[in-house]
Amino acid sequence: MNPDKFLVIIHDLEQIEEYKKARITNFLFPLSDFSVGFINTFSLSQIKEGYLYINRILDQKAYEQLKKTLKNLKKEIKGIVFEDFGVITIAKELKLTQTLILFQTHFATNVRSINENLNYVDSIVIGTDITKEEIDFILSKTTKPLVYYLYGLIPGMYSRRTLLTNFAHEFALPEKKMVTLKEEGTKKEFIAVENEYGTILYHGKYMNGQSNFNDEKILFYLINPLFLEEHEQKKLIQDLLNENKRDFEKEDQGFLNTKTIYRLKEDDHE
Amino acid sequence: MNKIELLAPAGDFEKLKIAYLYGADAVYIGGRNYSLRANAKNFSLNEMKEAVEYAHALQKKIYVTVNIVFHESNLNGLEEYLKALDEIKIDAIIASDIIVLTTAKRLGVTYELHLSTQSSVLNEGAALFYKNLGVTRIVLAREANKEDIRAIKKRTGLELECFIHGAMCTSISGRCVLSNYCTNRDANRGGCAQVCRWLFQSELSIHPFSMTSKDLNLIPHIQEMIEIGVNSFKVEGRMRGIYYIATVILTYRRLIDAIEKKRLTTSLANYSLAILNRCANRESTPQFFTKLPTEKEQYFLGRDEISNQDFLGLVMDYDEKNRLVIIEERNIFHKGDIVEFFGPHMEQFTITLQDFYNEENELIEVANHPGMLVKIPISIKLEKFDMMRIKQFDIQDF
Repeated sequence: MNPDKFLVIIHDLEQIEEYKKARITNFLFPLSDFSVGFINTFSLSQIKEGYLYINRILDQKAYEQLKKTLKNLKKEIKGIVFEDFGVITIAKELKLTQTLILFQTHFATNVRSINENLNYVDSIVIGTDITKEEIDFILSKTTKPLVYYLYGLIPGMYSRRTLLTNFAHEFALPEKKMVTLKEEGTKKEFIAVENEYGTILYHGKYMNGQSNFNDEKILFYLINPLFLEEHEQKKLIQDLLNENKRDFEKEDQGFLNTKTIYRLKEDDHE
Repeated sequence: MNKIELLAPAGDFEKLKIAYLYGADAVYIGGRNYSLRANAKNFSLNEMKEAVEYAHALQKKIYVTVNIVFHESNLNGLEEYLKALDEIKIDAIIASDIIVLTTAKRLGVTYELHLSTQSSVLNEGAALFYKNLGVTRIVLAREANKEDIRAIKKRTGLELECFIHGAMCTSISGRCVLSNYCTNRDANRGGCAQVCRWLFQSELSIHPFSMTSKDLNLIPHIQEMIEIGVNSFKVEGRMRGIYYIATVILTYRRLIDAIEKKRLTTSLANYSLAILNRCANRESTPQFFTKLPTEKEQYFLGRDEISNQDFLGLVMDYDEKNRLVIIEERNIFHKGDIVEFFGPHMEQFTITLQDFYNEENELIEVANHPGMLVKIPISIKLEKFDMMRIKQFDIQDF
């Protein structure tokens, strides 16, 4: 795979040089005060070049702060990956020229909605909860190249509540910002990560989306190596670049091969 | 002061009638496709047409949720459905997916476009984005605090609808697929299995990890919400029963009317709160309106939920000649119970049950079969769909 098409979420600034050795040049930085679900976030002064990740649902106060933050954005900032439509209004008001990429984790699930939203942004991250067949169809009809979540932990839930802190307070426990949770019935694991702006529950398996998609319709392959050890990250990058079949027990293929259902009794409905 | 709308849920026609009868200005319903309560009974198009005619005859409004997150396979028939909703003259759709909004706009439908809470709007910029798409009303995220509401109203001029009562997702609406992972049921297409109310093991403690939210109840802040420009007060619960809908809607109706007439008293506010706390199966709090919720707004030790059997019977008829009210039993009641009758067009009153009769006019001392008809001598004329509940407290207690 072409390393220029990789967009890697950065969790440690020291990782960047390693990625550059693998000819990866596009990096996504969770922006401090405007992102959730990360242990490390970065201020604008720490980010030399790359893309900003703003995945908070912005309340009015955060919206106003963000507008101030994005004024006079340096040209080395190539783009903004964001969740909240308020960012589009800010970009318009500030006449930002950076690439705008909409990433509403669970929402970009059909190509007609994607194409409507592409009237307002440059690209969109394809939803993480749909099948390979659905992604193929989306890529065949999209009006602009899209971003595909190739690898990483997938957010299963985003809460504005500080769920780990609340639990710690209830039982007078030491506060933790990252905890593995196992649902008692299904034994499914989730990794909860909290900051003052909320809590993300990631599905406990790394989604490995290696597949043969139409590369021309893909702007970036998004990679989120959150919590992978350094040696695991190196191997991951090599495997993805070389399209090696991986054998890693902490992975699955998400919903690529699994259709979800939503009605319990189909016959009851017209 | 703007006219304030009280907006009720209705999972079926009976609930819709109860909602209007008990004081709702508008009702929101789901069709059998494209609604986030995929496993509720919901309405066919014919039933919706009948519901619209019923609502409009009462000079009331009716909105239809078209609020799933669409996959390719769900788009078949969407355009025809949006046209059909226009033909039956609904007042608005509640949608979040952009394809619904833009398709409706392109079709030139005459109903309004309301943005669903699934879009999680909390700031003016997001609100303006949707305003430019033709949305006239935004159902704000349940996470909106009063400063968010105030600013969005002031800077966008949009109609704002806020949830005031009912269940809360732990997540920001739409930002959760725990159900997909744990049950393969797609939360954003109406299949949510409420995994956020399940228990989890963790390394933190021997106590199971829980993130269950208590319910929402904004009784203490209704006046302030009116003052900062909220136009529509929305009650959650298309899956709830008629007693819940009747009690919640009547309580908010009387509260809003009292505010509009500048007759709100502390006693009425506290009584209203107590009534609402009795009729739900979970405790309720104002959640995000004035502060970020803490552990006080959650449950931790399992499903600490309240089983409520206050609803004793539904008035089906009144026999004026013999001065007997005919009740359909909903929960067990006995001779000697102190009960309260309430309804939309009456002052509630209390009696102690003495003699009452079954359908065969036999004197009985207990009504213990759900659905059985019971005749109770009462001199005050009651109307169909008035209700009887166990007496808990009086407004004078507050």
